[in-house]
Amino acid sequence: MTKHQLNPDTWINLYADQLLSYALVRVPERDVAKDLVQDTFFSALKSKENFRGEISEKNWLYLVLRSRILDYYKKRKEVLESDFGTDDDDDDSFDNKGHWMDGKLPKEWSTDNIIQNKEFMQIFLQCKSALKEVQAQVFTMKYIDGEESETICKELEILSSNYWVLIHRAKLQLRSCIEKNWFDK
Amino acid sequence: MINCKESTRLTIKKEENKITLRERIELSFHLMMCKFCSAFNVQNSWINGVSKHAEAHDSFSESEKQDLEVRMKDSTK
Ligand SMILES: [Zn+2]
Repeated sequence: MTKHQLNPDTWINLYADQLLSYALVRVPERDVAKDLVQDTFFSALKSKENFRGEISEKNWLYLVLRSRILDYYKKRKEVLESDFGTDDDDDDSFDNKGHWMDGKLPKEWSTDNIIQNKEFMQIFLQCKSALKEVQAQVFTMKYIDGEESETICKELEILSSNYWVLIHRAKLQLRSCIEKNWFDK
Repeated sequence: MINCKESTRLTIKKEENKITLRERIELSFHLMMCKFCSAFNVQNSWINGVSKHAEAHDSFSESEKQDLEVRMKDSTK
């Protein structure tokens, strides 16, 4: 089997934009994504002796970035504890009897040919960024990266009851934001 | 009988098979009677599918790249 090599001089031109786009789907702001890519290159340079050539340079850099993103989530989660919320908090989707509020009643959507639409994808990401940050984190880990809920709770050190409240809120807000900014237009 | 808030909560929990048989039955009843939660149920699954395809298309500007290059060189000194 041929061993893969590292060529740090080519990283910026070959991978910076792809890594930036990958990070942008997963963190709330471009500046954060930019810093994460920079950290990825720095820590890849530092640990280049550990690279054993078993995966491609590109896949290796993606792994480094993913671990940087997870570290960022963990660090942010510490300061976001107050955003967790409980099921009894004010909830603008339902009244106190648990009925849909008038402005939040789901309407019919016609969803043909939307997934490939780049403008829709922008709206989707904007709506995700509009969520409370910790809601956006668990949503991203669960639905974009396909992690199990147990894994997410363990990594972020949150209780499963907190997890379900966060996911429930995230889904309600995201649905309503997508409806308002795409299907109602 | 469950209300709409509870029905949306169960709709999401059901994805991971984390609901009891009784909850599943109550959810089915509710979805048959409530067109709003029924729409939520469909849209929720659709959003799951969309999420798997989430992508962005951005790039570093030339000056950002030059900046990055300088910092990478510095970081190895
Ligand atoms: Zn309902």
